[in-house]
Amino acid sequence: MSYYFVIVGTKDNPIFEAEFTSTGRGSGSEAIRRDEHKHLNQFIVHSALDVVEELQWKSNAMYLKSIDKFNEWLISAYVTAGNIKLMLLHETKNEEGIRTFFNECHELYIKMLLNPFYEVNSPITSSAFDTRVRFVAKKYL
Amino acid sequence: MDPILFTSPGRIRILLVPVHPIKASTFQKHVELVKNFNVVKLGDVTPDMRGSQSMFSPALFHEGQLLFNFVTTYDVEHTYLEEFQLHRRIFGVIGIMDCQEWPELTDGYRKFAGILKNYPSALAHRCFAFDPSEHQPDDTKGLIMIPTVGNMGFYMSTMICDFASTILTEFGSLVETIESKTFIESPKVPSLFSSPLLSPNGQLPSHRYSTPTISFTAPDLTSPQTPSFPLTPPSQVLTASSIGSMTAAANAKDQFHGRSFSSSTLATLSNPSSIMPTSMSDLKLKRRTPGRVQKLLADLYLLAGRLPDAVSNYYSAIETTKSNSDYLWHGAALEGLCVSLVLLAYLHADIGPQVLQAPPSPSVSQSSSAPSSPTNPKPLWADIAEKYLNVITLYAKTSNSINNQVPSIVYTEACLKMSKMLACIWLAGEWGDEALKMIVHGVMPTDKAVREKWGLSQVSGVSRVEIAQWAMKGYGIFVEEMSTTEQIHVNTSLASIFSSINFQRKYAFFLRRSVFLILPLLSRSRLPLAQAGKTSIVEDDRLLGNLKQIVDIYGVGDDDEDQKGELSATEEDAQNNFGWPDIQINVLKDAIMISESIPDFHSIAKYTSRLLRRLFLYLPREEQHRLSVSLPRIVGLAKKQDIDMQIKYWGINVVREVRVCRPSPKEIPYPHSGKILSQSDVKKEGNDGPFIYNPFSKKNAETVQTHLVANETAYFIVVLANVYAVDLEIQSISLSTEGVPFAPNVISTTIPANTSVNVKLSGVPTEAGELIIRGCKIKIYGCIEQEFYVYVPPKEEEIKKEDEYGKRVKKRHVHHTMWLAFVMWFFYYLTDICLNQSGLAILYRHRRDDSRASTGTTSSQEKQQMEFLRVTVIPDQPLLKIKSTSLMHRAIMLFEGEKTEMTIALANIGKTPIDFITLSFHDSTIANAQAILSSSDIPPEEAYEMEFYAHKQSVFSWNQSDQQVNLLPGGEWLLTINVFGKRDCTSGTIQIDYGYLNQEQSPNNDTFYTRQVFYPVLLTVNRNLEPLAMDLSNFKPLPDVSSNDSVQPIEHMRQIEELLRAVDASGQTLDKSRLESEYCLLTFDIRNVWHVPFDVTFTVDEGASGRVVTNSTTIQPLSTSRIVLPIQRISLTEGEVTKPIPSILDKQFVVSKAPKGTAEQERLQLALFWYRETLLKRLTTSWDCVSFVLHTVVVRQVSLFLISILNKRTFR
Repeated sequence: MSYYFVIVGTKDNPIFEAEFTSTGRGSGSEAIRRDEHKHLNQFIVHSALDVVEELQWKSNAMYLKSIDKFNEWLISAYVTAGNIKLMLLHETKNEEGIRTFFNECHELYIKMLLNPFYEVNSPITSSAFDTRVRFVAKKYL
Repeated sequence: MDPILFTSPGRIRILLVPVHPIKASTFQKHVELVKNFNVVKLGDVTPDMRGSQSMFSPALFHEGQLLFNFVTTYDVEHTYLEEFQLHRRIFGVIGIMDCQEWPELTDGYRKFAGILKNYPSALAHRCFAFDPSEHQPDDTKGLIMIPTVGNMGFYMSTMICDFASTILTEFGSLVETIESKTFIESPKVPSLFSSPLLSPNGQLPSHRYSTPTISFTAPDLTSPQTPSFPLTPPSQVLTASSIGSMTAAANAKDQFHGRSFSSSTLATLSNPSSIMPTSMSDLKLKRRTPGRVQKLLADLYLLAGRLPDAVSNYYSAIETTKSNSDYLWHGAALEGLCVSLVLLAYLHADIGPQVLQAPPSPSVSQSSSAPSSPTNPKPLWADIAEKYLNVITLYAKTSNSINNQVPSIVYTEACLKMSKMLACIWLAGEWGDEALKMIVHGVMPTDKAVREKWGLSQVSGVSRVEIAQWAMKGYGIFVEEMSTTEQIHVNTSLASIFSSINFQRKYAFFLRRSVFLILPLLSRSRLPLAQAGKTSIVEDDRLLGNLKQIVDIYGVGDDDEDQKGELSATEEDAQNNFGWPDIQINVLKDAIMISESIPDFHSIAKYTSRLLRRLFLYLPREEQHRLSVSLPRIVGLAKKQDIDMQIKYWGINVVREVRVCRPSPKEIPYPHSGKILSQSDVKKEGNDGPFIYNPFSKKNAETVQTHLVANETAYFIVVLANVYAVDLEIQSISLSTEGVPFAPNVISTTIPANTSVNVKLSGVPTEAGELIIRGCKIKIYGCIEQEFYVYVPPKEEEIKKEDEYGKRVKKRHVHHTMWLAFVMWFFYYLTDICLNQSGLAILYRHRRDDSRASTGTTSSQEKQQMEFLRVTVIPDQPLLKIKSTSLMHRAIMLFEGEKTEMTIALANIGKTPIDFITLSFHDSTIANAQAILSSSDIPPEEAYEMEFYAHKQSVFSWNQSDQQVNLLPGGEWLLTINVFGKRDCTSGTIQIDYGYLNQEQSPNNDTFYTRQVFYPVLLTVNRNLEPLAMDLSNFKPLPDVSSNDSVQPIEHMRQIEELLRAVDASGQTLDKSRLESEYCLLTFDIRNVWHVPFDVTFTVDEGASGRVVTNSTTIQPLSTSRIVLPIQRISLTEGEVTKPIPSILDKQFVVSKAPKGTAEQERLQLALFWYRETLLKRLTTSWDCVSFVLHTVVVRQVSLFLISILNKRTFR
């Protein structure tokens, strides 16, 4: 079970990317497959942005739920007030878990914004942010 | 015709075949002609005469239409579906023959008959012979001549109606065949039954298809869990497992994908006898067959345009199949029903309500989750959408069945059709005639307004999300298991749907996939073509066009740089930050790869350079190296194929700055305004006005603008920067200029990776005027020579302003950190909201702005701000050299007050004559004196003394001769300069300004330029004579000097005698009383501190009386002699005495800060000053010395000033 999480800025630019795999099953072939899929993941998420842009105007909620699918992958999205999109590529449905995950990540992102040295739309390089996101992912996904 | 057209099941497929020989273009023309007649009204079709087979008689439903689907190609792969989906079948064949190519038409027809044998399923056939000539007889049976004259349209439509009639008749017999069948099989994916022996290669299939575990587990994972996403991929793999081993299945699959469309394979595939149903399913099959027959019958009604019959037949088929739980056929019947309903709506046929509502309502409402209530009728499309959801569910249910599994292509197409239909409604804006027209005929609007709209959908209630969801439902793992052509078909269809609803990213995604799928086919078909020396240009162009669209959407599209030729200046410009770098890199790499396989060298170069330019920050060093090296290689390859290609430099501008290099001091030309042309003008340069501080004066020499001189080599410093991780080899670099002619010198250099270098470039301007430096012409290895522009950076003040603002902001940040957090949060929240317009919209807006800028007025403003470096080039200037001087080692030794001469020989080494020379001098004392004057508060009389010392006594002087200077090139000139031994002076500089004014020709008020030559001189000034103990005393002459001379001391006597002699010498005798009243005595000692004797002469100017008293004496080395001088008493008027102390330099008056004395004291001081001045004016002293130095007698004529040592004692 693997997840691909990305925060997309307003110019289709990724601000933060992370991949989570559930613990344990890390066989060799799996790793190769994942590597191969990495680029595909980006393409899939990118193509799902179209749907997000359509849906974000129709919902009051920030969490847009599962908005798109490609083969066996589902794409969930969460749009912040600043039009920063949190996108998660996942394989199984877990609406509540993902909602919590997104909420937590949004909070982390807002804390990131509070940093006066961080500019909106620029890549997040903080390792602390990465660690926290991974922690949240482990907790809720 | 679009295969995923919603109404394609209602179209009769007619194949148009060329009867060779025929030109491709001619064939195309005729095909287009025939395609115009694809709609035939049932009312126009001649009713069938044979009563027995009038089942499909057009007379029964006059409103109906026959829709033809004229094709020139069809998918043989789908032959196995013909029994299931009748519209896939070829019902008719029309041969198209060019009479010009066939002199004997009968032969042509025979050939057509031969072609017909390939299409056994065709019910009717015609052969149209176009462009018949006069002499060709119209007697061949079955051949229809289409004349070029007369009402061809009418004729054609008649022919088509006739053809339609034939087909309708044949439908009757087809029904009989169908009804007579005992079994009607579900379609089977043919690959499973093809013999493994046919597999062309036994190699292991690619991992995408070969991983059996994934293939088998995938359907289980993705089987439908939720009603909103019934995503079951119909997996034929399971069936495969039941038949053979895994490897066999994999092999077969591989063979299937790699299969070429040979007719022999087809024959085995379409042979129904190879299907051996087991006896168990046999019974089931028998039970199910009636329902299936009804469905097929309904299909035929639909094709025949008999919509009411079709609808009723579909209903009964649905009933039957439902009761048999024959899901596949149930779904198919539902699909057919939907098509019929849409077509009915399109025709506005008034059979609706009763037929629609009566039988279907129970069945549909039971299966679909939301029952349709008759009181609140939904629009038809919503009903259809519901039905289709049902269809999908039904199809999904078949995935576990062995014999009745839905072919994945059918499943996918169902989804895509629905999606496309919704897209049509969305595009039309509402459910109405326009939408229906689009659905039926599949004509998409192409106008821009529709294409570019985004945001909320229209009133239709169809949202793009829904469309996208339907489309994505049709795409799953199972698509990857299809054959290549099917995959291409699915991917391109998806791309077209997304393109039509303006989902650009999804469009690009699928377009990219399609390109990848098409590519191997293209390159395979290319091989024989390339050997024959042909290339399919059209296909290549389309592929490249697609590539362009893809890269455009991913944000790495044309940035006009390819055309403009202007390179962006900085890294920030190079990447406008739009898009996803990883994806962009991938896309560009794909584009390069695809262009390579075509191969199109221009595209390879274009994409490679774009990748380097836009995304170098994200590329590792090796990658950058590889790409940059590949570019010259591409040019080489292109050359081999006789394609003349030149690559422009791919990177961002390497030239960062160009500035003029200051020439060496003696070559700098200094400008002067031509009005005052004198020595004093030049001399005064260092002396800027009477004010102590002048805000307008230039701060230092650096700000003086540098001028270039015509016909002399000028040097420029160019800063080159390389942001790449690879070294840039610059084969040639030279300045690029406009304005006056300029001959640049070319050099070559290398910029190491990630560094910047300064390069000194030179060139010769050949004329006077203004030189504009646009930048550099650079040829980088492997690229063509290009011009790199450089603009003058913004003024310092502007930068400072910004800096200050920045600082202020920062300061505030630091000061208010406490509550900053909250404010910042709010601020970001707001800016965040402002950023709301996002994604591709930004990209498009950006482009719009760009295009406006390039056409509109803003560009000119920007151009004005961006200015090139401008340098003034002045006319040719002479160049002077000091050839020799009379000094040894540039040093001179003098006694204090000594006067001597030195000579300087000048040589004109330039090419221009010199007609103007002026000299100015500096010595070390001036600076000291100035420093003391400006720094300390000294009494004005002392200040006067200082200034006098500094400025009135000059070490050097030059007697400017009146003779006009004219120093021709190569000529020499001798200067004689007087040198004066000034106390404390250690060094001095002689500055020679010279120029060529050409006064005869040019008017005097032009600016002219001079150059300077400096000659530093070291001075050693020795002290030789020191005045001491100066005093003034009353002059009391003795009563009688001559009579009683016995008692007077010798010394005293002698002095008096001398004095009297002095008075006598003036030729007048003064009586003693006058001497006493008018004279006083000035006495002082002079000590000789040197080791040679000096002859000292004193001269006292008597002022008004005009008498001069002279007194000479010789002072021996190291001895002191007392000097007594009679001086006429001085009396100054009150007015003269109270004058303020003057300033020698015309400087601004500064109130002294020194402590003030009483008024009396002040007055006394002033009087003292003026008396002393008067005294000094009268007294002149000079000394002579005869010394033997180097065996030469040097007679020195020197004037000795004693002023500075004069004690300030009162002499009254």
